[in-house]
Amino acid sequence: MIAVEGVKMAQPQWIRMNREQAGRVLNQLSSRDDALVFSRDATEVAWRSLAFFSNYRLCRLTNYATMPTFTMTYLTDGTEYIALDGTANPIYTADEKDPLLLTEENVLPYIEFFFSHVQGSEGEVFLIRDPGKMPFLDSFTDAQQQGVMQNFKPVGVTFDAHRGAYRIEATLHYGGVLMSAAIIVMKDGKISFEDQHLLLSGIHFPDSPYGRNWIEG
Amino acid sequence: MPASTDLNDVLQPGQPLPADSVMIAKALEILSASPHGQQLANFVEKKNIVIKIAGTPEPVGYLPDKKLVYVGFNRNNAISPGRFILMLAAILREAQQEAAGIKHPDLRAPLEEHKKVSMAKHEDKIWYICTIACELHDQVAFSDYKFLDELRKMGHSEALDLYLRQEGKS
Repeated sequence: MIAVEGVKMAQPQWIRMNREQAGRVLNQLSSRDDALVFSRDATEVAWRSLAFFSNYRLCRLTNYATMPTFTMTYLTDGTEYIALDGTANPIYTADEKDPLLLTEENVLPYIEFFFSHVQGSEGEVFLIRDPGKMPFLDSFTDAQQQGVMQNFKPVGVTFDAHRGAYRIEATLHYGGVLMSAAIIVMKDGKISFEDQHLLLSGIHFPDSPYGRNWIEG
Repeated sequence: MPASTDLNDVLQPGQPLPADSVMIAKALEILSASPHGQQLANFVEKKNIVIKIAGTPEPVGYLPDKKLVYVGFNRNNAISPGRFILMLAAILREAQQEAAGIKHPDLRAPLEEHKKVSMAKHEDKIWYICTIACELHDQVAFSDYKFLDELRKMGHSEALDLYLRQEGKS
């Protein structure tokens, strides 16, 4: 098992497209019947790579003509655009079209990418790598902070050759509770959870844990 | 482990929702039961406003064009009918502002102008949906929608309290 320390792998930076490149993306998107409409004059288009895909990357459109600004993120191979709508299906669709290059090193970034774009009925799932750096830790009572520290189980990654899947033991925040669980990542990118155990309840984040740490990096 | 926090529900599709056209028609019908909501429903009809529902990670209203509005939400974590109606009312009010010539300043306009105009537009929009929520809340037929609670969940608790005080309803 690889023990993963609380340091995150540096995320690739967003790269802003020039006007011509952005125009091409907007043209491609506008040709789809179900496409959201973006202002040509006031939309910024940016992209960044993903370590676990060879052909697909992230493409982010931000319309600055609205207040607040409106942003949608797509998975794209430069021809097809799959809108990330908060469900798992768009990611699984890209996984099918561009087989994942999962390794013990990038399976955690894949999970974090997945969780930062997919919500459950109780909201976002957040994988805690280091309890001392958990978002909003300061907003919890001393007793809750102590509870987080005491209950935290370090992240561990193993490859189950029999199932052909990665198994990640981790501490997660979901629906106001801290829990331990094994996250199973199949080779095709499908994710499931096993051995879920409640560690601590009444731990509510006041805002999205991804708002300032991950998504818009 | 409470069933609601089973992580595998992340991967399940949400409860089946009605067709988009049904949701929009029903929302406009309910809005029409309130005097201020009726104005918005009339505006949609007279100005041929196109209303669309989009899959977005977070609940959002989006007005990319003065005749096109979107209400977006996450299909895994669908919003309540009451919230959908209030979100639709808010973005339609914004479309009404644009149609009346009250537009967001140009991107290169001074910050002060942005603050002044955008704040005024936002205040007007929030006041408008507070009014609609109260008008619908007062009707027994819509008590299950819990419009005032929904408004608070949307983060407008302070605005609602202020509105209720100003209207002598608190």
